[in-house]
Amino acid sequence: MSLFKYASPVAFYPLAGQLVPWFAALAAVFGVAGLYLGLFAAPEDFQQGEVYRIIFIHVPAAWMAMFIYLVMAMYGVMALTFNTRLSAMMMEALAPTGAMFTAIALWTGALWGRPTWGTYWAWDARMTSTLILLFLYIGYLALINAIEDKKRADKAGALLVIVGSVNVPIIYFSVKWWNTLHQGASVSVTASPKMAAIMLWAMLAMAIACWMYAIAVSLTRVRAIIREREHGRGRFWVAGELPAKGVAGS
Amino acid sequence: MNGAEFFSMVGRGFYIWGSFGAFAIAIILEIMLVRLRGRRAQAEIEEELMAVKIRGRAR
Repeated sequence: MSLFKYASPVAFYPLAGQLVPWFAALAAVFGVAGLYLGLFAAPEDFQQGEVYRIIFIHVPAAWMAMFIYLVMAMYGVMALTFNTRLSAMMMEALAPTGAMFTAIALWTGALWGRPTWGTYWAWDARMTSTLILLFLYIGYLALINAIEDKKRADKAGALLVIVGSVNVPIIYFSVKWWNTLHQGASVSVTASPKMAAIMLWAMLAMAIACWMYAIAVSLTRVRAIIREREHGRGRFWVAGELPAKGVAGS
Repeated sequence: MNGAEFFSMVGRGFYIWGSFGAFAIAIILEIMLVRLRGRRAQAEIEEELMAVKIRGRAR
């Protein structure tokens, strides 16, 4: 059995349906654990006081905002090189969730900035590049909905996302490349974390919860997109009818 | 820490609950919209299937 068979919407649709409850359950378990650790078990920060608890939402949301965009760019490359319909559908399914996480990262960043920096917003490199990321998500959604021909919309959308992916390393390294108001990374792959273990565990649990949630909600949305795109084409396998032989491929 | 102290978060409750609350609302809204989109798409395709079946019987 080849994994490539799941590049076909017909094969992927039931698989996505089976995976959604598992990812949703994992999101709930890690979410409850993360909230407990973050709100009850983790102590007050000696510098920022209680307001630091916003990081348990802010950091995972910011990570997901960047990660989802990179996953979309990967699907964009696959859509353009292999011409797989499902890749474009996955991009469309991921974009609203990525936009939501970006908006939450900006919102929680503003609510964190006011008590710690004295301002809700500053045009510094990290915040401005994250705002550009939100515009890229919105721009992608606007573009694919503005073009009636789905194939052309998918190609244009994939191109926009691939070109826009240059913004992700800019967001990540902005705190190193420029002198920003935003603090540097507290967690890094190459260095030991600059926070207490309980705080780190709370943040990681929330990050995993957000990751599992993003997968569950995107798989649910891609099933809806598959149904929408099969509508009007005489393909009724999504309504529980078997596909006509050789009709509904990738 | 009692309930009132927990919610006031030493005077930072607005910022903390403003963040957690917005996140919760965003997730609930997204789940509702995704489910609505799925149900709508399913209804449309079932409607189309019904129309095809009716046309088939009429022939």
